[in-house]
Amino acid sequence: MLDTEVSGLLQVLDQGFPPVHLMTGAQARAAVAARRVPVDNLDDVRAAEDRVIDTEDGPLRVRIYHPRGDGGEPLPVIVFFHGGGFVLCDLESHDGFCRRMSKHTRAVVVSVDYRLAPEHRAPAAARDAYAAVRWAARHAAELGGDPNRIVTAGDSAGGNLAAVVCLMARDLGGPPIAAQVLVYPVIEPSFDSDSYRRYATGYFNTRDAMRWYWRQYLGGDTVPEPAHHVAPLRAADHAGLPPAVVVTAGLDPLCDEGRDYAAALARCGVPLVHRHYPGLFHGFLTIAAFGPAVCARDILWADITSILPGATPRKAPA
Amino acid sequence: MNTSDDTPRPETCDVLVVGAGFAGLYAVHRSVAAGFTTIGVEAAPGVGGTWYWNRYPGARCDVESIDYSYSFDAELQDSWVWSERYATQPEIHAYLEHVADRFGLRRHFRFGRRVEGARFDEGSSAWTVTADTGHAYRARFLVLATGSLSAPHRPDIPGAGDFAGEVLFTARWPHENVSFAGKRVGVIGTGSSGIQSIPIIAEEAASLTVFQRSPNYSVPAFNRPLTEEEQVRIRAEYPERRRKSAYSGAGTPHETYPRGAFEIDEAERRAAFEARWREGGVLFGKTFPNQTVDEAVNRLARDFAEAKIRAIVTDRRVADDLVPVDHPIGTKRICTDSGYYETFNRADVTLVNLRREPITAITERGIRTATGSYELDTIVYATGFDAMTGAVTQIDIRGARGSGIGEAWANGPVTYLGMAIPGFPNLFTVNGPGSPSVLANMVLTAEQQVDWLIDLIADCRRRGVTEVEARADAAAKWTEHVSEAAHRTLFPLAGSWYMGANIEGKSRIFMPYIGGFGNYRRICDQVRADGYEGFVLTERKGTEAMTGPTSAVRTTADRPVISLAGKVAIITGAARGQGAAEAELFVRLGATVVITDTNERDGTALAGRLGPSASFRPLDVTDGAAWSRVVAETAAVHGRIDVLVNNAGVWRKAPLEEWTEDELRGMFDVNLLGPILGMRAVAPTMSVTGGSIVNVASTAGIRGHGGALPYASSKWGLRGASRSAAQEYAPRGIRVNCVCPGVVDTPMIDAAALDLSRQPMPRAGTAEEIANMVAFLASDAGAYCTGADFVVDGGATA
Repeated sequence: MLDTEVSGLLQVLDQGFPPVHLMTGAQARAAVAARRVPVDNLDDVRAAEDRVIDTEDGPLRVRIYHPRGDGGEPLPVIVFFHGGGFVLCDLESHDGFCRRMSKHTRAVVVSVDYRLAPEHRAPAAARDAYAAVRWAARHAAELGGDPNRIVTAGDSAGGNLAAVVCLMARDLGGPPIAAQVLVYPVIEPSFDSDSYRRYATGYFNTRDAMRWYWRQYLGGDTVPEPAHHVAPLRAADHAGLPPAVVVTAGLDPLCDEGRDYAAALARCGVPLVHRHYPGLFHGFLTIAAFGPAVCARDILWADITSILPGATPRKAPA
Repeated sequence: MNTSDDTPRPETCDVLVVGAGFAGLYAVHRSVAAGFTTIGVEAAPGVGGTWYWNRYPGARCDVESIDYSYSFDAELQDSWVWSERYATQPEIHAYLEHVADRFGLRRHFRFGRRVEGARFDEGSSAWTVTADTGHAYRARFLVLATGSLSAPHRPDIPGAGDFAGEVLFTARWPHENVSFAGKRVGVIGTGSSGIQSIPIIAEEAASLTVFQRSPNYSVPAFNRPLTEEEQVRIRAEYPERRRKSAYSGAGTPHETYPRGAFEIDEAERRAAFEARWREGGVLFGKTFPNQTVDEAVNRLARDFAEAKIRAIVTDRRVADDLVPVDHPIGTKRICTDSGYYETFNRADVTLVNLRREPITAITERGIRTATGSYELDTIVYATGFDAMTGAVTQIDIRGARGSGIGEAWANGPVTYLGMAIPGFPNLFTVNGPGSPSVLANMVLTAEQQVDWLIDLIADCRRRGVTEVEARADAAAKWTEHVSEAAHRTLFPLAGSWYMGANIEGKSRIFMPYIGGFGNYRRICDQVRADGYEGFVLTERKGTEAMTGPTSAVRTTADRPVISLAGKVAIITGAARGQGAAEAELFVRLGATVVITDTNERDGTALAGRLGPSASFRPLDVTDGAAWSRVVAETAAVHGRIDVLVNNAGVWRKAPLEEWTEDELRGMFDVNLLGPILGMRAVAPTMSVTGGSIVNVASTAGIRGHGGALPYASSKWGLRGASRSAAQEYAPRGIRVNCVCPGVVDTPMIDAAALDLSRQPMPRAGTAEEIANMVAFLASDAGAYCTGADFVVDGGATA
């Protein structure tokens, strides 16, 4: 690896990251939260409000970010699911990222505090994610948003939810989703891809950690049915899903499954932009002051903006 | 002229190359060879680039011609004879015309069209390129081989349009003969063009006035014709010379004096300077290590050069004006002259020091300075170029996400590896800012970058990547590294065109990469080995597929069905012809290839051309000990051997009576014993991972060939050896097959002389068509094939 900034940062991250797979969920959460860097871009948005929405499974907390600038045209609504292996992180961990996303895509961002494992097993997180999308679609106008431009987005385990929610909406007759944004998504609880073998350790996110995350989420080793609402590659087909932006990183155990999912979407005719970053690692894109992340985010914002249909509302499918 | 009504439909291609100079010609050649549809666009009516336009008297290169010429093709190298050490412009131009003809490059070019605009369409991942003629092109990839010194700089002097006499520009010299006889000539500028042309103009003109702003160091070329003896030596030493150059500091085999300037005494130092001075030209700037880094060492070189100037120029005041005082020697390009300083001893030559008396205006009759007036019949502008960036920024380039090249480079050029610009996907510069370019032998730098870029584009095709773009942070970091490297030297102290200092308002950034050509090559190779770290590789669904390779097996998905990724292959007889085609295809399909042959020269050249995935090992297949060495070395370097292709063979057609016993044994040794020795040598290593052996036999080994009895017998024998080996080695996971080509167009067989009209497909096969079958059997696609013969003969044995 040539980039000393990357290798230096990886060293720090590797040394500093707690061995979560040896902890309980609560311990791991506390250990990771303790590493959190304060948010320095509060002013990126006009307002951020915390709300509790009602779902079939009970109350669900969301944080809604409104970009600056005067009203006028209804804005896209990005429903965002944070990463953290279905176990870690929350609204606070990705607060800075959501503010940036809202500012640069000129979108209302709804960040979802979905239920975490191991306390809540699959598909609890997916059910929350889906409920949040339905809520956002119903309340779009109230949020200043455009119900025809609902986007699901997430990094890592959040990328899983962003993908799964699109399958759920398709399968269950949910609201139309305009685009899905999957940043190094967690796709499959099988740990034997080439990238899993090559980057099992030493690149921040480890195979051991991934095994542990999945075990927490699944409550064991079995994927509950319907499997593709937990492991989205298992869908019989991926036709009819919304246009996708997929980001993968070269030094990521999850690289191959991200690639595979992008390929599956493309095979089924789903419009796709797949950005692959050789030489970068899982989680790089949300690090605030990291050159490659700044660059990748700029490209991501542009991709989100350009993959969305024009501001003119289009008709929902009958 | 850009009329909207009659704009022709754009021509489309995979790769569009702008420029038909050294870099552009090679880029088109490589791109075509890699199987891409390719168009070259050139402003001039013919090939040559810099060497087309700069036809001024005395124009010649300041790098020795045996170095300043292509290295990619050994036959080209050996067939061209340079008449002198530093060839003149006409000879270099003739060489490029020869290259264009030899490789059939002209048909890919559209001449007389100057590219004015380029716009990237993100939806289709393609560039639309427009020319001043109104022609338009669409290409997935855009390669700007537009040259470093190709956008002439014309200083804005008041009254320039008023001059009633003749005006000439060295960089746009007329094709017809220019006569200076009886004329009063003024030359503005004393860079390379001025310094080379001034002595010749002075010979002919009635009088010559030289207008000098900044004096430059110039070292005599000591140019001379190359003797017959030298020609022979050059050819003998060429492979070694090129090998050294490929990883040298500047793309030539020259090295600095082995000891530091202060480690030796005055006499030795003088002798070292004198010796280097006698070698001629720019090399003097690198006499001692650190000469452009350590001011004290540089001072010694300056003193030496100054004494040389003063020893020639008789008028002390003129000499004072000619001695550079504003920059360390070598930090501006040292000029290479033939009689420059001597010219100022002529009574009819006047030097005007513009530092003392700047030009105030050009008038109808001549040039007026602050203190004088010079009546002239002809003014020659030798005023340089908007170097390194000018030819790129004069094109209106619009990239992704709304970026324009003007804004992107407003504070100086930002590039990744001197080849890619963030915000401009699928656009590449050859010899661009941030690459060694003008600090090294630009023919070799062009070859290295073009090889790297075409490999990148081919990798994109293989992986379904439609867009490749440098990351902004990676480019910022590289550009910073380029600047830091320069600031460890004395170079930034000079107001040079390297720094953009000759152009008013241009950012002062040291543009070329001074870290050395060899180091740069290693960095590029490392970036590739790391999967193109620093780039973003994008796949867009719905973009048009690129044309695939014309020869490799393909599917509709535009990717080769077969892959040799991760496999290590030994190919015998691979320096030329059939074996070379196999080596090339194997590399393209992802294999690491060990090229073996007794022909070391062509083998080395091929390995160099195929890049880091290929290497060369000398091997006589009839020598069992040599086999052991090659196998041991390959296993040590690459850790495995997956494929052996026994391709080496000899062919001779003659009645049996005409063969001596030794000749008969010799043919069996190469064609039959060789492959057997090879199979035996690789089997132990190959059985670790499993593997595939492909023996190249012949249809003469299937049906007999009267008139070539020994050959046919050896090939029948080889089929038997293969089948037996297949049985013996199957338990060890090794497959063994034969490919039996019919008539193939290679240097070994003169296919054109054969009558093929009765063959079902009445033509000779190509080496690539045979290589495809070899690759199939070598790959996992042929996993169930062993002990069989695969005939590729256009139906000849049907």
